[in-house]
Amino acid sequence: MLDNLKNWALGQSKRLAAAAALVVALAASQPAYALYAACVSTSTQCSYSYHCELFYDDDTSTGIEWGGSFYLC
Amino acid sequence: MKFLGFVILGLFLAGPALGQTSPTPTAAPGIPGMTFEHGPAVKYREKFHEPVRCLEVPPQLFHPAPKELAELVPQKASVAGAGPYLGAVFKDPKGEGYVFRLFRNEKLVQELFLHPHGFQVSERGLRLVLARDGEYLALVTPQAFAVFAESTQVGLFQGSEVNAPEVAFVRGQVLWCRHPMGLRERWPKPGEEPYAVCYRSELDGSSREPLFSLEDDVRSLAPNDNPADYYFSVSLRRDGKLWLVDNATGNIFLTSSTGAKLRKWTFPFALERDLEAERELQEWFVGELSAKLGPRLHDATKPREKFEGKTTVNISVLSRASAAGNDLLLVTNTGWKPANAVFWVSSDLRQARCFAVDKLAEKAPGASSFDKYIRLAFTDDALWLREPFGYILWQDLLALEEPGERDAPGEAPPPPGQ
Repeated sequence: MLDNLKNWALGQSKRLAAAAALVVALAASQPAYALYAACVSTSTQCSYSYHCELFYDDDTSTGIEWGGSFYLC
Repeated sequence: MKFLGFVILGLFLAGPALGQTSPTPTAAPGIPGMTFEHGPAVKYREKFHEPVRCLEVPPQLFHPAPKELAELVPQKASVAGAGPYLGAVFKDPKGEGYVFRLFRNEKLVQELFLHPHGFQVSERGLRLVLARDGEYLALVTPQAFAVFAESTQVGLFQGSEVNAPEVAFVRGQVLWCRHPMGLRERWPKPGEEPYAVCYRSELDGSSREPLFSLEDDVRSLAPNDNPADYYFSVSLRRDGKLWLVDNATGNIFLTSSTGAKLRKWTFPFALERDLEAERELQEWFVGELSAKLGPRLHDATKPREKFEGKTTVNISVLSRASAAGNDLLLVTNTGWKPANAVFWVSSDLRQARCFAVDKLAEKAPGASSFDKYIRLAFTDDALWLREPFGYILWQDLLALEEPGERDAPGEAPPPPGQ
């Protein structure tokens, strides 16, 4: 009974190790991806500001960065 | 595929590159892969050739604010005018909120303690907007504004339709224009409502509806434009009509109180780009964005990313557009030469005059273009300066003779573009 359990556990760990190796191999073979930014930088009354949209090759968005700097108005 | 569209859009958008006359985009030092290019308004403005002749305002026309008024308006206060009123708002030195003071004929007529809530307010970037009758006010921040009746906050406006708002009041309603964000805002398809940039609503935000949209006759930069290339402001004339001014292009619309277009005019003057100011904006942007992009581009747990970016630089031609009576006042933005030039435009759009106030304003000779911004406020009868604090009467300014006027009397010809 104990031997059966040990064999099952060994089998599981080998499968886990193989799965982990597969993930690592996939990651290593993955080509570097490209990040694009489309930004607008604006100067107007009392302020500088910018707004950037970041996205990948396949057009999926990866976020927006924005900010501003302001004068006394 | 859409990225290809972005590249093509970028190519169309490319005007003369920063600091150059060639159309090649310039690389952004500090962010490898990022290039700068001008928005289409720069190319558009090249069509206007009217020479700028600004009259230097003689110092004897400047009236320092009376001591009793000056003592009630701290240096950091945001000051605004509307109709006969001048208002000031500043952080309450004794409390959490803000102090609002309203003046008429240089006399204090109202003091309120305001406690804005539901949005972030800081003194920098805070602007005050008054109703012409002094009944309402708005505290405007870069991403939101709150409307007050007396000291009660009756409305809070925020969200994408309220970005960088320009605000006005008309007959118990609030009007505002927004600055569209981002280059990837899409234009409406045929059959859809046109892209709204200005809105009207009740003071509490209810019954919001579009006031002014980027329709075909407004899209002066089409077809190579983007909503973010336009930046409208709205102000109420004494007769109830509206001035809707695109600060980005210099296009001006006189409309009814409901936004129906009555006349169009384009600011016809040839302004020169200030390359130093452009460089400062570029450097500021690189500093800001590289701090945020850095971790994304140097994440050791991920395969190295290729990075490519384009930044459209939009420096508005005008920093201010405001009604004084039925006339229109325009101020040129830092980033263009001459900066801070005050243009008075007659209510019928037939005359325009320019006044230079630089020498009256206290600005350090070596100030960066960022700091060259001159704080001004307009009432129906006067142009107010913040540093030094005081005013010049419009009637005195308009009585100044233009050079050569004595030799050639008569009205100036109407500006072109009507």
